[in-house]
Amino acid sequence: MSGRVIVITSGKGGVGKTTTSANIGTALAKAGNKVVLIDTDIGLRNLDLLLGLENRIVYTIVDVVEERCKLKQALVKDKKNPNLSLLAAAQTRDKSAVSQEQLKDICEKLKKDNDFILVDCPAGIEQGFQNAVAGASEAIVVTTPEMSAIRDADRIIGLLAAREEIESYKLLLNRVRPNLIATNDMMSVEDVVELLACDLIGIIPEDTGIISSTNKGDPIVNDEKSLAGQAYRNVARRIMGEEVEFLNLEEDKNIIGKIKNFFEKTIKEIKAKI
Amino acid sequence: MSFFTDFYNKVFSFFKPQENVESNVKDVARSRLKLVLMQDRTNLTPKILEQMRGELIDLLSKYVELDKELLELNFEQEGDQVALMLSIPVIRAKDEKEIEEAIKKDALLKGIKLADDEDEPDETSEESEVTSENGEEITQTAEEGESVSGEENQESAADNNEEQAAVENEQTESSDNESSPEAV
Amino acid sequence: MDNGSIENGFIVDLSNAKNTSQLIYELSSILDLPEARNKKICLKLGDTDLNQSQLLSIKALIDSMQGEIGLIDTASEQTKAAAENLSILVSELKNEIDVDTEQTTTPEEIDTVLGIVTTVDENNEETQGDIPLTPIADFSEVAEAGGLVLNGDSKYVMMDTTGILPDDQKNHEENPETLPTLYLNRTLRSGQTISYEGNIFIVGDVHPGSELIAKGDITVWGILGGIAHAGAHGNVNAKVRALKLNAIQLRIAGLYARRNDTYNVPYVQKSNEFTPEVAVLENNSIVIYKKLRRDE
Repeated sequence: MSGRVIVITSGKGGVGKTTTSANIGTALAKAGNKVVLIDTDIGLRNLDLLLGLENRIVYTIVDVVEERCKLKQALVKDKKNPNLSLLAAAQTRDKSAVSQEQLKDICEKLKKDNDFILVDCPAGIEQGFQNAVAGASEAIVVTTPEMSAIRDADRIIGLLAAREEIESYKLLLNRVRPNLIATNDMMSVEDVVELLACDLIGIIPEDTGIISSTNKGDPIVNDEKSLAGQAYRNVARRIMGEEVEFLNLEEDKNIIGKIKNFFEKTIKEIKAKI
Repeated sequence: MSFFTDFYNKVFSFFKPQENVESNVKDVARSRLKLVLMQDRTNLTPKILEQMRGELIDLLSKYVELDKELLELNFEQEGDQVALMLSIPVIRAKDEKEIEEAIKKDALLKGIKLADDEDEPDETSEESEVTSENGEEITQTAEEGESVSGEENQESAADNNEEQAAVENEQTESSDNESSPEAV
Repeated sequence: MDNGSIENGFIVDLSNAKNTSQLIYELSSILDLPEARNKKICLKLGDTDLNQSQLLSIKALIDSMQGEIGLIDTASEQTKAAAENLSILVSELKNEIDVDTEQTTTPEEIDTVLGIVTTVDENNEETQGDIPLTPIADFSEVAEAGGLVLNGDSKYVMMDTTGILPDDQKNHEENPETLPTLYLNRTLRSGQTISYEGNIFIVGDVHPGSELIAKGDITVWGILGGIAHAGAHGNVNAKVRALKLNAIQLRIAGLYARRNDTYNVPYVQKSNEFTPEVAVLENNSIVIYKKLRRDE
């Protein structure tokens, strides 16, 4: 078996990298894949909390690198899904504790008996980012429809594009709020895609359920009713190669927005004909 | 057709006051971001970009009547290549006479300027260096300006309207071949 | 002096008090502590002279604070005479004697508790905000009072570490008291580690995400929310103590316990009332003893 190594990155912090990692990882594992999540945010780890595994960690990636334990010993099995395991970051060290080569090496080893290795990248473009990207051949760039997040995502896309090892990179648009888009207070999905000129792999609506799922340590993909959970499950299916339509998030668009949209479209068509 | 546009305007003049204030949030964000991303991607300063935009307008308006406000200058990334995209709404193509006049006037102006101010040409040449790292050049200096082809318009006015075709036809005669709106 | 003992005694040392009003003030603040309720109060009065009416008001004070006067230890003849008139037992007070008579106590825990005796500080203004340290009931009493809490019931479950920890881990028995102790007065925050070849004693909270690793015991005078590993070299006699044991993981020698997933109490829970807890190794599992108050 040779697994795919996908890095989940964003540049800006707080856009939902870790949430995305936890959810895509869980969704892939639920679909029957063997998945390892690697938290590379050494010193500021959080992935363990989102998965509710913080009380089970004995060894971390730093212990593996410094040969205090074997890689296998450091993998923490998920509570619900035996297909999913976590390689936690050390909380009491910093980014310099692991090198690019070491991370690459770990990814290579994990590839042998896993379908997917998801690398949760720290914010920023410094060593932590360089490390996380080192072993990956695919990337998911997480962003939100906000100026700062988009700008940082653009920077990241530029850096990823410059790396030969990265064969593909896709955009995941997080925290989309259809009601704000309808009133033109938020950039639309199309706007962001156009600005960043990058293929989409998913659109995740803002969902307050994310907060409680984080607090419970149970990723929202496990909630069958949640729209965000559905969106993450769709992302997982797309990663697995399925063609899945993007969720229609604009149903609750207000009536004025609808009328305006209709007219604007028509006007565009007319103009084009003149 | 006009019935439709009228209707649209009538209906939406009703919403306009509100629209002007609020609906622009997204557009403001979009255009701000466009500019910022362009700078980030190319390392060009806003000043240089503004200058480039100005010169492009000057240059192109010799041949066509443009909607200057709506000219869009954008760098787009495709793979590891950055392309300069120009989008210029063309109001009307100029006829040959007008073009000749404009060129003469321009040459005259530039001549005076050159005598007056020596910094100016330096800056422009520097700029074309920056934007032409990958061989293809954007030519904007006064002398070369004459040789700009319709090709540029083709790129720029791409999605606008059929006038563009006319412009292209007219301009091919006077064109040399070297300019293209792409730079890396 | 007879070598008798007072059951359920509570020693209050007032021998440093300069005058009666200071003495009364100190006494009342100590009696205010929940630990002092329903106890036989043993007063160390030093050489302070008290007349009969003063002693009577002290007795009344103790009564009003749900206590009972047990005995007094005084060097003053006047006080002794007054006490005899009021039929209050006068005796020489020795911590050791009191303690040894408590048969169910394990020596180590008693020492921990009994090293601490209240002293009246001369700079009263400065220390007024602090709670005076008083000898409190030892953990053995707790077990009697039904305060025994086994793991599995609540906060912690043992971790299956087979395949995770090395098999060749060697356990040994060693008295942690023979090791040196690192004393710290600070808050330990996420990402900070303290590792020491001996005992660690921290006055302050230990936040989640931090780590304490000691060759001997770990004692936290505050909330323990991080990972604590006592007896890290395999000493099965090591213990973890805290005013509140909230650790994400408790490790003693080669045995690991983790917080129960269903135990939904925040890691850091501020509260004015604490129930000190101690985690020890018993029968190959980590057992937590909780000290409950008498009136609970």
